[in-house]
Amino acid sequence: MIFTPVRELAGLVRARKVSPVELAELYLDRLERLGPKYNAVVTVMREHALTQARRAEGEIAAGDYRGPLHGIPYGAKDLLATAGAPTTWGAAPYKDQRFDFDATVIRKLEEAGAVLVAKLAMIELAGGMGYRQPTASFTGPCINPWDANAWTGGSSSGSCAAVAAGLVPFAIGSETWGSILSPAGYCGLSGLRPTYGRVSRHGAMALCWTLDKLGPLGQTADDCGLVLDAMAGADPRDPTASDRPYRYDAADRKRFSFGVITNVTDGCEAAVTENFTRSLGVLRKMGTVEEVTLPDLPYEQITRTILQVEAASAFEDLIESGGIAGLTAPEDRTTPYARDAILAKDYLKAMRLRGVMAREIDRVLGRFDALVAPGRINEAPVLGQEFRSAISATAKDVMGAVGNGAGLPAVCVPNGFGARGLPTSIQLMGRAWEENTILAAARVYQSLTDWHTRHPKLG
Amino acid sequence: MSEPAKPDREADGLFEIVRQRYGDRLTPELMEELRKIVRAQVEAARALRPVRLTNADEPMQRFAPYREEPPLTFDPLTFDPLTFDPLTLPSPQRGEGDAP
Repeated sequence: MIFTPVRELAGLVRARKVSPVELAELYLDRLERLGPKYNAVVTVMREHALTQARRAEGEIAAGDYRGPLHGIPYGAKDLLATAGAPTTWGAAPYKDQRFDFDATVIRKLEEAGAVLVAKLAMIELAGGMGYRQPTASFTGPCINPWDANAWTGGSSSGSCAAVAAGLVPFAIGSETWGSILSPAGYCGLSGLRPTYGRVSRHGAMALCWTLDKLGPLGQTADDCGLVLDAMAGADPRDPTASDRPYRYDAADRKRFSFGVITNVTDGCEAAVTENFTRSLGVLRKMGTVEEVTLPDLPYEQITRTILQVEAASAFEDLIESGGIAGLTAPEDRTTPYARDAILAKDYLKAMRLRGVMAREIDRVLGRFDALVAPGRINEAPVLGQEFRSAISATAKDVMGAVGNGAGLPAVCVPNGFGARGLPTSIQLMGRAWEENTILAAARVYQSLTDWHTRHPKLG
Repeated sequence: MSEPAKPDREADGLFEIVRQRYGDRLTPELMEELRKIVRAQVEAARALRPVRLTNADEPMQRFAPYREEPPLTFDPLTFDPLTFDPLTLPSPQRGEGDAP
């Protein structure tokens, strides 16, 4: 039951073979019993969850079935405001913070009948202060359910640990640059980064106003589509939320065209490259795979400059007051000071180049259904070690820079295991608003492979 | 032992801003680390600057003029669809209900 995809759980709930209260009890018990083992949970919402579950049970019994999330438990990254529980942003200075309203995403999921069972751990301030180690959270390093000595990745750490350990059927995460796809890949999950503006950010911690996205994590790409269907939509409280309609389309599609950026596996671990090469073989059964070269632009510098400046502005009070001294990771207590030295003109240059980047990548993507690449260059990092240097990222991440800088959707699914027995992954990135296309491709990929059906051995 | 970095007048000048603002909170070791981070930021800026743009290449961010609208007062007894003005719909803003 615990690793059953949402679509199958929904069938059981709708047929009244499993009750929402039973489901809530099952996952609440696991969250309370196993959550601490992974440092995955900030707040278990027992009373709130049972109230929602009883309501769902009554509605379904009365024939008022709302859809596939009705009565399904889920967890939310602890940067989403929820009335009635702390919203800590993963950071000690905010551990007692409370809001008197629900984030739009929380409200929309409630309207779909989903049952919020937990607020989940995260890297402090979603990693925006320049963290370099897994311990950068006031709840401790999130432990990968596949290996007690490995990290989950971040910053949606608890969301991924909880889904991977079967503590919730699905979870909500956020991505500014890598925070959904990275931990999803490290934990062997399916994770969807929607197009910027597809999902309202109202009530979510702002790290970078022009980069932040909220998205689902689940066992399958299909589950991600079901959840996105409930999350998406316009919101007068977030002027960047698009009024483009979205309905998840789970219809089968047979043929796809994929692009692979030249030298995209440079810097990858050998097993990652090997697994990606094997994945390309699967993709060739689904359609065409063509190598493509991107125009020469400073992609990573564009997105990194925007991220650093917006994050420094979003947390100006905390930085200038010296409040960052209360953060957990030593580097988060000082790195933000350096951002005062980024010139306004350089930030605006990055914002102007962002338009060029968005047009160029759209031109490239116009020829394909998706660009594909390894989800991450490596297996999950070891706990207790820095995973990147203070000065630069460990390796190039052009897909992350382009995808996040241009606000494009991407889905990440598992594609094998590395030398240490931890999951590796493949990502598929599409044109803006093409979530259904990349989800369709990911579904077919998962129908041809069984990596998503493998789960960690839980003690 | 690594060689000391060559002087970089721009990076060193910008680092001086950081030192002036926050130097009293930082140890010499942390100052040196921040100096390296500032240099990396300057290197990133140097990658951006040579890329030529046209005058028409605007920053990719949208600005919209703001005007607060009066709250909707809906009375079903007096509602007249013929005179209803949708421009009087409420316009809730981000941050509404934020924690104090």
